[in-house]
Amino acid sequence: MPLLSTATNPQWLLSASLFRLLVVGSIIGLATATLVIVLIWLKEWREGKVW
Amino acid sequence: MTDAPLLDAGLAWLLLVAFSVLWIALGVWWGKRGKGDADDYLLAGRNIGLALSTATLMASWVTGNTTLAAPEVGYTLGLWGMLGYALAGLGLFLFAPLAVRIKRLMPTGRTSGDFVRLRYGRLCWAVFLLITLAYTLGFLITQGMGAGLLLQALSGFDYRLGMVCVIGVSTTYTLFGGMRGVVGTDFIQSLLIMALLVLVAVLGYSRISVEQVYAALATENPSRLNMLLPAGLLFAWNTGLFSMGEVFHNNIWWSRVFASRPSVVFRSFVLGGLAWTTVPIVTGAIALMALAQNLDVPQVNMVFPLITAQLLGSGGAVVVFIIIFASLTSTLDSLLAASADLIAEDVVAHWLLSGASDQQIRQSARLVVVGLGLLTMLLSWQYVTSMYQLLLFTGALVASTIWPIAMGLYWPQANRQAATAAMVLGSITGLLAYVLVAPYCAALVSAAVSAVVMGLGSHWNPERFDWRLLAGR
Repeated sequence: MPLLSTATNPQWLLSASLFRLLVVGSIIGLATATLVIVLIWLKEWREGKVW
Repeated sequence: MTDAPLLDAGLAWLLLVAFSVLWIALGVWWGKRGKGDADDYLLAGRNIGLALSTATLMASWVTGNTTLAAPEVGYTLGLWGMLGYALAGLGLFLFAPLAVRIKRLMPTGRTSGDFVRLRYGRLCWAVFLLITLAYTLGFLITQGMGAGLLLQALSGFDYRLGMVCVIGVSTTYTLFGGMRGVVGTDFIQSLLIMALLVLVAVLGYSRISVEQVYAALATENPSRLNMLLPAGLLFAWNTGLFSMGEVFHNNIWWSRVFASRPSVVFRSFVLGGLAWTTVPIVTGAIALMALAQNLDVPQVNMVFPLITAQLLGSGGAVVVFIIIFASLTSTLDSLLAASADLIAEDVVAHWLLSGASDQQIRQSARLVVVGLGLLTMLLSWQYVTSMYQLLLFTGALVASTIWPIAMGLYWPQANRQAATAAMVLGSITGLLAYVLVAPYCAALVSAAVSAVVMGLGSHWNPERFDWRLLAGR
């Protein structure tokens, strides 16, 4: 992870691998959350507990 | 990039009419279920399950700001813009334990105003109502302006026509469906938003790889990758505190607590917070593609629609239209319904018409929905400022309520005079910081001053509050 620092403007540039983790991880996280809500709804619907 | 609309006007009209009819039909249909009393109209019968509870939190918190302003800060501040915006999910997480306590202490409560009135008395309640109504109006205006801007940029509609259409649709189905209609449509809207955002992100990053975006940023815009960017760090802290203030005080979230089944309250706030946190990062990551593509962005808060249409063509513009239309309507309906509850319960039933009947409260809520809808149209008539700047302005007000609410729920010594002073002084200093220092500082200063005043005031003059008083309404 490149860590650069100057007296006036401190810099810590995120590495390419962490950037990839952030982007891909957030997309997977959002897709998973969507699926989880649908599955919970299906379960509650079958049990008559939606409302 | 020209100023030409991204969507054909005919297609935009078709989408607008189709989704408007769908939301209104669903809202009316759900509104006809239930017993039809005030609790049903204001709180959907107080028994909604985990799926609907989580989805309505998601839909309400994914606002026009999340889909327009989160990409904007991702584009301008880079990673800390995205991560900082994602910290707004903290509000939902941290409210989860408070929500359980609220549900236990106030089994028949209806609004956040009920809590403040019973806990701190009428003076503090009046200050609280002023803050929350000012915030609600600011929030409604940002959504109204977002609606006008969206339809203008996407389809070439007149700003005012788009604004009136979106607010009109939300007002109509909230009026007829009440909270049941709002929660039901929120469920569909949140799933649409989440699934379509995933689709846009996956398709976008299949056209420009993550590595290409990173390489372009590192070469052309390295500050966007800087994790020590001062403006970004300040923004992140401000957003976290702002979200706490918003969620802790606003009746949108309190009404979800009262509307949900006791067994699902904690899990819905945690799950909703987790799910929501991914949204600003995904939309911000989409906006970063605009930097990598050197896309000309004449109006920075339109970066998300512009890059999506650029990458995915007219299909992308259709998807963006649906995402932002669903975000705006799902937030507007929640704001209208929760504010109507607050005004009907607090202002009408506990002030103007003391001892109002169930029927009168329900009727008042309906009138307030219509009145607020019309007022929002009026106040959004002229596009005056950046939506995000307006939001930061209201942050000074809401952050002052964090400590009075949190301490008031757990600490019997929390003092009513201290709570009132904390809200007033926090708001004033926050607004001064907004004007004199920087908009990003508003919520930080407001929360800090409010914490000191609340802590010291309650320490010097402790109250002995009887929690049983909260069980009444």
